[in-house]
Amino acid sequence: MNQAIASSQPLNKVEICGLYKVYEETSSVAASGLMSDRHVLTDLNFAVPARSFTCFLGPSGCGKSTLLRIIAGFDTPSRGEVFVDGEAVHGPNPRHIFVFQDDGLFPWLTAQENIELGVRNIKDKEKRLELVLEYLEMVGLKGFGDYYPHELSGGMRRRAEVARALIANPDILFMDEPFGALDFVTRLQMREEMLNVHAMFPTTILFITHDIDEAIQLADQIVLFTERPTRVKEVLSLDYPHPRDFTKGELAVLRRHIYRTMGVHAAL
Amino acid sequence: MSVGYRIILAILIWVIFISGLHTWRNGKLFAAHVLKVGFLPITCHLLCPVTYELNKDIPFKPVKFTAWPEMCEALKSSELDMAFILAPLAITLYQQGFPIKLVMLGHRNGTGLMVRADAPHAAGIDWLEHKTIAIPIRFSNQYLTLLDLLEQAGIPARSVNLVEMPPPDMPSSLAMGAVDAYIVGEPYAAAGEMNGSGRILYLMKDVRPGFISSVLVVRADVLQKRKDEVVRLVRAFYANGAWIDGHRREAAAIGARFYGLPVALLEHVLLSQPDRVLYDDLLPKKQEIDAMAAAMTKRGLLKGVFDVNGFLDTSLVTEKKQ
Amino acid sequence: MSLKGQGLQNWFAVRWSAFLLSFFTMALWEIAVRVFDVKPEHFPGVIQVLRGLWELIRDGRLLDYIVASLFRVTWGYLLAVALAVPLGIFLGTKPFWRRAVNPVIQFLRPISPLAWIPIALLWFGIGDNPAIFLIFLAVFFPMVVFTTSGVAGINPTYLYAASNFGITGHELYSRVIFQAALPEIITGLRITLGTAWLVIVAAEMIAVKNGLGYLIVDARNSLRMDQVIGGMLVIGCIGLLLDNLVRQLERLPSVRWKRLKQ
Repeated sequence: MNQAIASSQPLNKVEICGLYKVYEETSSVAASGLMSDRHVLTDLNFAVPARSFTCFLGPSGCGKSTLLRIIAGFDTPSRGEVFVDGEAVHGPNPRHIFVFQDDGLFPWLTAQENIELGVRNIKDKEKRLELVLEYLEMVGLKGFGDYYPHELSGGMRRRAEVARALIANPDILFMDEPFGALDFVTRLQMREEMLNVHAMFPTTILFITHDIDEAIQLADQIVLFTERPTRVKEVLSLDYPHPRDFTKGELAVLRRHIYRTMGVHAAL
Repeated sequence: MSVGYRIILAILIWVIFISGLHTWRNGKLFAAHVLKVGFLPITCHLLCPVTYELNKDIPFKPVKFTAWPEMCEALKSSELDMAFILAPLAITLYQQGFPIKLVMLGHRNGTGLMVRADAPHAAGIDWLEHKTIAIPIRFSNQYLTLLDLLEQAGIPARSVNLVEMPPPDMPSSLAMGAVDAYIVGEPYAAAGEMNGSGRILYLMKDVRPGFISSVLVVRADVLQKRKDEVVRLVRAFYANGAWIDGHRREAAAIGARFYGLPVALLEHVLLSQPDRVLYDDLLPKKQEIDAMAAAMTKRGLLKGVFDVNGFLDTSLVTEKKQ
Repeated sequence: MSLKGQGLQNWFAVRWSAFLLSFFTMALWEIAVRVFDVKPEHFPGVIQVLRGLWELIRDGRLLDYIVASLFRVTWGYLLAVALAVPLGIFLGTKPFWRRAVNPVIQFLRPISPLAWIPIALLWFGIGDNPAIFLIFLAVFFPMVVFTTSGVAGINPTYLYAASNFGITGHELYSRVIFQAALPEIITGLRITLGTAWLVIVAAEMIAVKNGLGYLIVDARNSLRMDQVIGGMLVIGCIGLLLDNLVRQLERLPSVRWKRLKQ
């Protein structure tokens, strides 16, 4: 995929063109000649369709997070470019909201105050409060507004952070393994809620995970990455209705394919 | 955020409250523009509280110190205008180029050499050989005189162990056996005597009659700018020397009150033997100061040529005019 | 609810046993002094100490001295904190300046404030100022270090989140950086207040004519061991109160997260 093709498809929200990331030699390890370790991302080219739920799937430490940070504007590529709506990315954007791997809520603010950050631009205090309460209720945190993050459970914190992201009415939602630290059942619940959220707010979601099943259940598109130096191995489109049962039919075939691609042959 | 504002407000109120309280309770210490005279709670400086008590018409502020170095610093940094100070210390300050004038003495005698209570009764100065002896500070006539006494007895200075120690610690150190003897100004010799931790080996009145411990110095710039005030105060000090000699019991009471020391202790010093401390003859002779400077040079405490004429100025008391 | 009741009960039990323990210690002290016939010049009994303290309370000196000490600690401490925290935030956010300034601070920090006494006297004479200066020194350098490390150690996620929501400029400093470093700053506040209280007593032994440190020296010179020990008791009690006061800050809900995380 090259730039000419990309720009001819206006439906693409995000386009990655010839992107490289090389870490500069700062550590002695890097200086000792482990060249391959310094190359994090190598020649990435792919596009993310508008309003799609796209999962980045790849082994741990393959540079998915770096890529996501580059797209969000927190980091800069060594070469190549990222286009959002056809425009090159320069720095973070309040319309591109990030949900972090570890807790991104500010622990010194209550859940409500945290969510309020998402609507900082609304000057009317009452309108702001009304909106915040609405979103609190939507993510099932009604009555927990005055709790501090450390007083909430892991799942509640994630919900609060998602609410903080959604209330900002983001153009793109970045999620970096947001449910990684949660227990199994809570994680399943959160997946379900994410699907509901995406149905209600059809915004573009870029979602990092290393959980293949999670990706299959959530994604409209899966971008598969190799190990370092990271390249795109495959881009898969998943046009199936929700809820999905990946133990049967085409999805089961696809799942096996992904497992094999990622080097697991005894897929269950 | 409102918690933050409340904390800041509380801090602000506290600052205003404590500052106000401090100014109200302790502010007077730093107020009036009167002569400030430094002293330590020793009988050698008794003229200071006595004059403060007797001459209410002469405004001055006695400032009590607990150690010599701070008094020197206070004098240097203009916090003090005058000070009762150890004579060798004053000589050192002067020789270092700090302009002060010696105008009169604090008192005479009033120093004792104490030994442990269990020292043999026949013990003389030679008993001190190989012993540990406490001195108040090197820049003191106590130190110079001790060395002198040892030398006369044929004991070299290096065969005794001398330690510098704040006078109030000396009696208890003697009682605990940390030192075998000490030489110090009154009332700390009497303190050791009275609580039984030591006994007198010598009083200076017997071995060095007319012994000089502390002197009164005035900063030269103050003397120049405020000569009338200084002369008036110095003359009051001088006159009160005679008063103390005639009213020793009253003087002991005043001293006890200002120093926070037991009356019995000061009465013992002032009344047990009339010449244990003397408050007459407070104008030193040139030869006395010169001799002291010579002793200091000999012990390595003084460098260069000492100009006694620029230092000693007893004319404030003796001059007829005014 | 029951948990809360238990907590309260526990609180009373702790306070009560602390009170009993100190009472027994004092009783033991008095008995020991009497049984072994310790001379009051060496170590007075409790009753004599309390009597000595009462004397100080009655003539108003104790109040004056407490006020003087607290006044100096207040000003020295607050001035130091007011300068050290902004400087620490600056150094924490600017690695270049941190590397440049850090050696100087690390060099000055281990010098005991008491070593500055001669200079304090020379520059400020006698009175409140040298004592305030010494407190300032005792608090300033550690406070800069605490704040700097607090700010430099902020979880970068918070900074990403802040820039994500468009929090920039002074708002970034006041609402994010300061808040994120606050737990560490408060730890610094608590430790340095303890140091300040240690130093004020030592500073007052030399530079001033009142205050609790002066009380100790003055009582010693007056051969009043009872008031020396009485003064020590007062210093200890106030130190305890100050520590408790700052501990309240650590309980603030917007600050507690750090301790829970560790």
